[in-house]
Amino acid sequence: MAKAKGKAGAGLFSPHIHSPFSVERVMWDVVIALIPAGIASVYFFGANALRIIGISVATGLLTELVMGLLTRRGITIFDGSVMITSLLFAYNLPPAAPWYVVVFGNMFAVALVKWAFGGLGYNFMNPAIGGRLFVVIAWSGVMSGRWSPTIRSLIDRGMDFWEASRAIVSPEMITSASPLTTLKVDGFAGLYKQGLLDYWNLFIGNVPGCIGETSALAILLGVIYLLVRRVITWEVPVLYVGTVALLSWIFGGLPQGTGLFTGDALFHVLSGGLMLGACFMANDSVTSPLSFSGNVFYAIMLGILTTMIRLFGGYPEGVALSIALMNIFVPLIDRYFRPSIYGYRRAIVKKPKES
Amino acid sequence: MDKKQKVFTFKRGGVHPHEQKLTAEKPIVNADIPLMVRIPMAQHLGAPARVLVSVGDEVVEGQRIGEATGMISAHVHASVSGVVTAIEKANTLTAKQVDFVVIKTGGSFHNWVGEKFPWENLGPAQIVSLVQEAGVVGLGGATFPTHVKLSPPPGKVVETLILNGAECEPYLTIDHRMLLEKSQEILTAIEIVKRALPTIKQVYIGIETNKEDAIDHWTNLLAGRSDIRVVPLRTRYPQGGEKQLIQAITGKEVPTKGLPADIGVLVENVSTMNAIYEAVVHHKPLIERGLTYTGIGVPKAGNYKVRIGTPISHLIESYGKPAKFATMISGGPMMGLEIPDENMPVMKSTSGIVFLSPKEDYGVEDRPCIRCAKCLAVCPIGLMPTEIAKLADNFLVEEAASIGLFDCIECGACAYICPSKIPLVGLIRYGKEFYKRKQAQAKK
Repeated sequence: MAKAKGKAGAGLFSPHIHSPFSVERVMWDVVIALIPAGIASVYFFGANALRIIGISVATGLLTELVMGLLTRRGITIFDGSVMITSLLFAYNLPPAAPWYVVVFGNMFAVALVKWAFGGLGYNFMNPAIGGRLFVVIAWSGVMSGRWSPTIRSLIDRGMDFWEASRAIVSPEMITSASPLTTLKVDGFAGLYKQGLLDYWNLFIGNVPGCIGETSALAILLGVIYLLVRRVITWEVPVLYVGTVALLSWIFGGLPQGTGLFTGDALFHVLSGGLMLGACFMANDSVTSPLSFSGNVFYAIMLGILTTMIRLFGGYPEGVALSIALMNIFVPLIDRYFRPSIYGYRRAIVKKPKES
Repeated sequence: MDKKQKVFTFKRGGVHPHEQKLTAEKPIVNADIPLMVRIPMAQHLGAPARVLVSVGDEVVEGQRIGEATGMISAHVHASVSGVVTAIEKANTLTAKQVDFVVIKTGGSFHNWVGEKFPWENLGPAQIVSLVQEAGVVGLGGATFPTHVKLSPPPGKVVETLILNGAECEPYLTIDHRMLLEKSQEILTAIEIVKRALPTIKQVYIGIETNKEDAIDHWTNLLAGRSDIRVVPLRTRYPQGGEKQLIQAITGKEVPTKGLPADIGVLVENVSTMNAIYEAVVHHKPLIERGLTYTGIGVPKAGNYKVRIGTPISHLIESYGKPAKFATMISGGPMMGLEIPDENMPVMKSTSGIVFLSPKEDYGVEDRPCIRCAKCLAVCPIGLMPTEIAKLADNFLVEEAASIGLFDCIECGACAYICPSKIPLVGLIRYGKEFYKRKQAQAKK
């Protein structure tokens, strides 16, 4: 905002008072909301999660600092937005991800997806999603085939936290497939065999997967906080998850050959990156539509795309791809989904009731 | 107030800033007469008035010194007796280089209230001409000439009169006091307006629920009457905006580019009703108005009746100012204008003088838009403020106009809530001016 501002007489604008609501408050609130998922990631994947989050945050802060100074925007690391990107990117990595995947992935997210387009507010795609897609393509082996089991069963067998953390990323342990991969490859029979069809474990996050995405419980805690603080609105998370649930119930049985209306909606909702994507990435304010109707359309399209990729596509997981694709359509959605303006259609006369 | 009573509100949007009604308990007091008044000729919406006096003339209180020029314009009167010492060009808050008549106070005062004129047998035209004669304009801040409102164009039938006592702006309490202290006058004014517009069937008085004593007072006053009704309104800004008030009370929407008269509604501020009463019953022109002089740390904050043209510096001498303040505002903090110069006079539009502390009106450092869509959520009109402001900022005003640039009522809810503190209203206002300039140039 610059060109017209000076001409309009800076300083003379009404309103003269402002709400305490600020960019910093919004961003740090999101960071606070991401903490439960971070705790869950350490609880289930041990020191590996700590390592990935630490590297990601350090890379993110450094990249943000350098990019802010290079583009002469000053030091922008305190507005909290880079913390969100770094945490989300870290949550999207498997526990065995090597350090260079974390470093280059997050550098790509912050420097290219976010700053190359002008920094906070100007990126066309969620930076963490951009970073994830980059590492999925660049290091596809790391990102799709090498899942570790959680440390809980090992701790139950008497190992301590550090031993278990080391054990799950050792080469002989990285064979376990994520629930969605198993479903893709072996169908429901495979899921039963590996004991992955346990809704309680799926809900609390005790399943193989990316470190921050497995625990629906922790993610829900964060989302409730954001809803209470009025940082986000309910449309995108609820409708995205709802659409996936509905469509996977209707069509989920087709790849298994059991026909319509036999899909396992709960399994699809709780597994993979859907909860994290719907609650923290799809509704990222910068890259989601403005109007209510636009958000409704956007969320339903996301649900359709994700279900299609999961059920009929080549990848087991479709959340990141769908969000990236719909992010690109956001300017177009904003153009066609506008709120109705006062005075353009006449409302029916309503008189106050007798009191 | 009865807890079970239904509370009305407009359909969408709105914000709730700190109310800060510091002076709600302070009765209206007559302010001291200044030694000198400076009366601008442009105090109303429409063409400025033409000066009728010259330097050296002796004028008496209530004498017409400015004549309306055109359909939408209003007369201006001398607010004190005295001698015209200068006619000068100066800026007001809203107009540049308009004529000011400077009067040195001296001579006698007129006892307006002592004389009552019968009005019961006057016809509509006579009432409208008395209101016009007195130079009454809407005192809520928009200053639309009242006589124009009272004579709707042929074919438009006004059936509903709404009295605006919402006073949704933080700090301001003058309408609240008017409702409590001038209820008989306002009741008479309702009858006067009904004589001017005999088609009026129903009268509503909209009062926000933060003025519970005013709601109770009027409920008791109107007990047993069904033609005039008190409507409690939810405390929500901009409840007192004309369009929002109409929507809250009648459920109808004023068509875009239309007037409330198009849907048979007339909205008058309660202070304006008092001015109508004085104009018709006492033949008193609009030479003084009530205003709220307030702010955190103001020594003698209160509600005062002030002569039009009183320099603000005179009020500061009488009632003091805070030791440290960021801005002095004419009107409320949401829609008011900053007063750059203490010598500026009180005008017909000055509903309040508000001092804002540095903590309230901090230097606005705007950040990039994060598209949080809060401005869409609070817009009472249903616009996309951030999109319109971005287009205006890039001079794409035609496109901005196509998505509702001119439907914006500039209430400031969007700029209030914006986490990036983008001056959305400033940009939209600039876009409107730029568009008009461009259209005018294209015509040449």
